[in-house]
Amino acid sequence: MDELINQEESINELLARYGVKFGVYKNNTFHEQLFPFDTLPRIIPSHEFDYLEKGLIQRVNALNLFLKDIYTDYQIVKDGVIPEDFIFSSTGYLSPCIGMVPPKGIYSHISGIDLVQSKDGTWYVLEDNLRIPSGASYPMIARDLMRRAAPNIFRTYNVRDNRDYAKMLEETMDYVNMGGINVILTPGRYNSAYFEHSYLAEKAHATLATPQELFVENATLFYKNHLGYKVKVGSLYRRISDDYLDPLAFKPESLIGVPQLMSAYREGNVALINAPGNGIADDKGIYYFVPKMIQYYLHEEPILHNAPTYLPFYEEDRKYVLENLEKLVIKDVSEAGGYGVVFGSDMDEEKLQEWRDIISREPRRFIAQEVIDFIDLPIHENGKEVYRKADLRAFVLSGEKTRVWASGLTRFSRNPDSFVVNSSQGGGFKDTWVLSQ
Amino acid sequence: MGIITIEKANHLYWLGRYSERVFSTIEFFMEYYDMMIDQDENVFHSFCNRLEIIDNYKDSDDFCERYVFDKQNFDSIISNLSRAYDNAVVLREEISSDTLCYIELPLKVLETRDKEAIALKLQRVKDHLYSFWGSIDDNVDSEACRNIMKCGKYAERLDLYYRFGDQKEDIAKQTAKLENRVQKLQSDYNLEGLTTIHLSQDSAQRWDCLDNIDQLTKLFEVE
Amino acid sequence: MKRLVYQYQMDLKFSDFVKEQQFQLRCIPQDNYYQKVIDTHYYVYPLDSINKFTDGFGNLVLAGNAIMRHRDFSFQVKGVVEVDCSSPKPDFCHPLYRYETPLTKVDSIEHPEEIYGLSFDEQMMKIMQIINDHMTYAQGTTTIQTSAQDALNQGTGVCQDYAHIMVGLCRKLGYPARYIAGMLYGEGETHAWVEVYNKDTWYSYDPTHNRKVDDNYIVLAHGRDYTDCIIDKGMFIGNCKQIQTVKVSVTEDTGR
Repeated sequence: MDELINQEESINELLARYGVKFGVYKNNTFHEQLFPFDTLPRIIPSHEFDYLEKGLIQRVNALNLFLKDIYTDYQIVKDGVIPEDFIFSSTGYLSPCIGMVPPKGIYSHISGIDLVQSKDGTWYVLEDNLRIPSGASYPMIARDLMRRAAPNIFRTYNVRDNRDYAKMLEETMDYVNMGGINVILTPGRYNSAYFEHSYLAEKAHATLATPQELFVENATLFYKNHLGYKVKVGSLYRRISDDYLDPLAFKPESLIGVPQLMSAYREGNVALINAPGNGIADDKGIYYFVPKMIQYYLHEEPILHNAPTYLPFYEEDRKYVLENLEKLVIKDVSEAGGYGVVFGSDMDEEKLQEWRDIISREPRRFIAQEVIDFIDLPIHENGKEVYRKADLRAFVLSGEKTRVWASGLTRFSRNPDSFVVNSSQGGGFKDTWVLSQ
Repeated sequence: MGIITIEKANHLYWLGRYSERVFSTIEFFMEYYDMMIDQDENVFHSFCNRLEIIDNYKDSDDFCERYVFDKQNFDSIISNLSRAYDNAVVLREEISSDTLCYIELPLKVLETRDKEAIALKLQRVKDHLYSFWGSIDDNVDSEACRNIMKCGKYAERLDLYYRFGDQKEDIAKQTAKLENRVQKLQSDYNLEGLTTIHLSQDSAQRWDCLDNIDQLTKLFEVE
Repeated sequence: MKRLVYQYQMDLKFSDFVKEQQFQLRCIPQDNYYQKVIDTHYYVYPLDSINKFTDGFGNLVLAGNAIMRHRDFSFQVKGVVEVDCSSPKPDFCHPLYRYETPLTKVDSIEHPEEIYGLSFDEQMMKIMQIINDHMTYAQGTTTIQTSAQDALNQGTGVCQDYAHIMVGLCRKLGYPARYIAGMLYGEGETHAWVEVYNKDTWYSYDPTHNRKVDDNYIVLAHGRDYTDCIIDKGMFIGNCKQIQTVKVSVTEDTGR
């Protein structure tokens, strides 16, 4: 590992050379920042990854079946496994998606499942991201550069090759393609993940387009030039959220969408990756039910664990939450990205009572979880080794088969007291090594 | 796939122009820089005049500092390089990540202020731009993309050569290069309207030529 | 049973040229449990491309565009529909119709205790009476964004507001309910009323007229509230004013 630390400077120089950045707005102006990279990799033993892989495939398969079910027959609701409320009163359930099954029946083509490992070694799923999970480009390019800077270490360790993500992505896009080219749709240069959009387009041989370069005619999506030359788009990996995708179907004030895109989609002329409407399945309230979904759709026992979660909506759980609030973490189901999360341990008695009242008043709005004491990983900081909280975003791609990328994005918190590892809140990242034996 | 959207054509053209603007103005700057050492300290006024840029520099030192490194200065080399970068960064899949580095790298050279002499810094910027064009030829498969960029490059060069009153032979040479690119563009990009542009070596008249360049630029305008 | 002849005409006049107009029209009647479409014709001008698709609620949508510069835009739908409300047939109800939307939420009115003892039909009549006790019909006092609660607070509104309030009150009572956009016998504009689901069947009521829906109504679109059933939705590039005129006529087919 010393070789890696010695090469830290060259690796960071290479990252800068390739512009591995993400955009942020400060005082209303756009800046590009380097995503802090720590050269010490997270190492996942082979057997551990095999276990994760099985569990992730199972989980994503169940989530895809769930999405198909609730947008068609909602049998899982009729059978009383999930209360109707949690689906149909959720803002994530989108009416323009009702009654329509996307190409090949796949809703979540690219799933980012966030995991943490507790100190006793157990892995827990923290969150399912089924809308537009980002972050795959960073480990892709980091591995490439690390191999250049520290070749010897890859001779010593048997690290599974992770340089196949672009190929997996291309195959996923091809599999659902309804005839035409593969396009990655970006909101544009000033999006925080623009580097990733353009990098994935280059590596997966897709065309990168902004909304102005696309249009719909006769329920068919085209990529156009100014002379009217156009090519049909068969598969659209859109990095624009549902709300802004089509001003005629969703937010009418959206200026960045492609008008009539949903009509082309509903007519089955283009695949949207991921399908619109997936927000219902990565809702924090629905998270509670994922193990039940696995039993319901696959008739299997869940391989991966959820963090122990309570739904104040159920009386029994509510009672437990109110009695044990001081050791739980409370999450607002409608918030994302590390927001709307409060820890009971941070509250004084007055605050606790305030929260007990809020939860009793609006039980449907929250979930409560046991705080998992997850492991700290070593980070190399100013010549010293320090320990910081880290999670792992695993990428699961669903095409002809559901596959797990033998890598992932390990994010760590740079603040020693923080459990929050989101890049939007100033974290850094590491390469993730999955050993082959 | 053979389709270049107007947005991308516009970025390709201006990437060609701005990277060439940086390259050629460095060459001219170095000539004047040399003169300022011991011949004429104030010759930078004539430099600004020829480029038709705002001349609000206190003295030659101020000029050398702000014309090269000042990001707030709209006319500076670093500003033009940033504009090249703004166009390049949206063309990653056309020009490849490897090519994009050669715009990223010179930008870093100018952003890093250390004791290195200006001439050496600018030489390094030029080195990267040589690599940039080499990488374009090697990594950009689409001939149409290359041609649009080179139209931009030679249009810019011609404009600058006129401004600095270069030799007739040089101008004729650059005109021929631009003409060659425009012809290629017509055959493989089928741009309507390009036929109306005649770049003739005889029309050594500056304004005629600049007018033609304006017409060329308009072709790539986004509404 | 009635055989109705309808015509729906919309004209848009722009104060300057516009281009790249995109539109979605929900103005083509479809077969349902009490209306049967005999004949449909539509005409859109100017027009570059058009196609049909079905939205999430099952409404037929005409989606298209007019790309070139233009200052006028119009479309017309006409046809013949047979309507028979006499024997409602069972039909499917999506659970979404149970849940409030911002436009249909009503907080200020509680149902009177006696309503729970009434039959379904009596309950509906009672609700319509409550609405009419609170509301006076007045055009121009509300907009398409006015919520049921806002309309109730000011005590005035048009058919859209009446329908939103009734949808809200029915959902509050536990009945799934939906907003209907359609046409009513006679001449004028489009109309809005509600359908309420009881056991396995949708029943139609017109709170604006405080009556049950009869064979004089043609359904165009249904949804949770107005925003799901916008008859013409569109956007264009251009900076100008527009004047829209809508003409609806429904008459009885006197045979040919």
